[in-house]
Amino acid sequence: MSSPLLLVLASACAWPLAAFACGDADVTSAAAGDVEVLLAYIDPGVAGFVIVAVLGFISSMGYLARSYIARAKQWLFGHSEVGTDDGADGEATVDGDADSEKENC
Amino acid sequence: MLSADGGSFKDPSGRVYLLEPDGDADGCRVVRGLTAPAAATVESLLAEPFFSRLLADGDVVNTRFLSPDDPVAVDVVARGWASAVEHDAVDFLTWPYEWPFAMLKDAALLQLHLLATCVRAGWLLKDATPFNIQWDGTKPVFIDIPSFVPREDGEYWQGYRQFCSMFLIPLMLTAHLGIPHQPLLRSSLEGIPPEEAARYFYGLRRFKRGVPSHVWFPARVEGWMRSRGGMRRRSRLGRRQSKTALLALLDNLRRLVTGLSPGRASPSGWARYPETHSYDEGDFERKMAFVEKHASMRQPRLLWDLGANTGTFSRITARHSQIVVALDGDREAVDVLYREAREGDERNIIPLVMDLANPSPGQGWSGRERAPFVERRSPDMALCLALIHHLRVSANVPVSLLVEWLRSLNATVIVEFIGRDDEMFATLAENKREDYADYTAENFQSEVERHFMIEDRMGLKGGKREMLLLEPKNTALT
Repeated sequence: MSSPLLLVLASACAWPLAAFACGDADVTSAAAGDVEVLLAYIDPGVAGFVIVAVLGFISSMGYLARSYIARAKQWLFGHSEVGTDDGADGEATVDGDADSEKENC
Repeated sequence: MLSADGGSFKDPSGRVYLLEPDGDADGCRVVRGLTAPAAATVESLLAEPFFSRLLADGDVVNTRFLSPDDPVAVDVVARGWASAVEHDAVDFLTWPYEWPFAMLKDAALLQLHLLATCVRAGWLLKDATPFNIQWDGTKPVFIDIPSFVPREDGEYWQGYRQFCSMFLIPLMLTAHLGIPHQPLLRSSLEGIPPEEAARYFYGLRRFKRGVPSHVWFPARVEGWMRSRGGMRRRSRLGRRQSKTALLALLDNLRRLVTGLSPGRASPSGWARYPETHSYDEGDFERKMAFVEKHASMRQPRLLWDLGANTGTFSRITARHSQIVVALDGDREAVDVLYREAREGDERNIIPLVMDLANPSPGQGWSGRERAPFVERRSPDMALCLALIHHLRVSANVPVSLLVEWLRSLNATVIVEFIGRDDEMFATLAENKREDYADYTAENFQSEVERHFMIEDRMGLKGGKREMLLLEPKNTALT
């Protein structure tokens, strides 16, 4: 799956959350000073799991699709074709994936 | 004598100590005290095949346990640690706000490569900061071994936000908006969080590649969570992420980072210096021969090329030096130097973006967490070619202070002085009100002779420029 499509999916997933967030933000900005002090003690990283889970889920659709395409190519054309798939061959071909990532470092 | 490193106090599982060399030995030793659980983890890590592969590839710093009988280990244990490991020392510490775009990008790709590799083997990197990466010349090396921890079943990547704040967002700001990352990372050592970055990406900018998913969406979710008072502890226990989803996210990030490149609307003049300099062929070759002759005679361990541009003279001196740190304030020129040195596998040049009128100060806790540039390691030799007039005219630094600063390096210096009648000085001073009365060949020589002995000299461009080889006098520094 191409990256632009992933972005569209990510955006689509993000819009409803964002609309919800915007509504709450008004409430926060109108809150008294005490509330702002309280919020200063909240680690903004608490949202990390939600973000990583949503992005991980969306990314895995493309990742798995590329993985299956790579396997199909391998089945059809032999081993040499798989190495050209830019590291998207999933867990099944660990070494090939690692090597292709390494080339970009 | 062991001294604790000023930047390693954050992780309670260990602390880095530096051991200064005895006598004329080269470089200091780097040892790390570890708690008993951290030592057990590092021991398991060193036995992992994936880690051996990373070590063999030079992606992580070489690490070994010290024998309990080793005097250094005894000293470390006496400080309350369970055991000690030794790491190979890096040649010269650098910080991400000194790296050009391509260096930060390569560091980000290394971080993702390491994480993907260790996730497949059931491990995780518990943080994602570029301060854990240093340079073996043009090769990034991960140095914070205790960052590797076994991944608990379904554990999610807690370093994602830090990766975005410290690698991805700075790279996207440069790639998408042309905003250099160096001043931002220098002023904010924790990076640029998504909520702050979202303010740069307004209007249609928020649809640029990677922005909706890694800036805008996290910023909104964080704002939403904060407004709700965070997550309750009970819900935190149930957080699980599959290995495939994590690898997919890492793959997505790798593709995104790989596709980022700095936008260049108009290439800077300094990035094209080799084609645009004002020397004729003969003069330029004589200048190169002068530099090469004296570098080859002295064989410096560490050479600073001040105002290196795209590194013509860094490369010449690198043939005769252990390590060359090439500094220039022009980000694009340094980026070109880094990419060319990397492609040429020139492993003893470290290119850095540095405004010499405002070098990196001490940063972080107590001003010692990130050492200032001038206090990291003194050079044995410095090149200062066609730079003095820039600092005098553009930064308004008096000639006397410039020469004092060169003397403070306590190194052999090769200086190229540009005379007032040189067209490049005239161009630089053209629209200035000040006449820079102290900027004359006579005054420069007089200042130089107060602090240095002139060992060799050579005129260029019909006497408009002069190359000088300076050895510091053994006088107390002013």
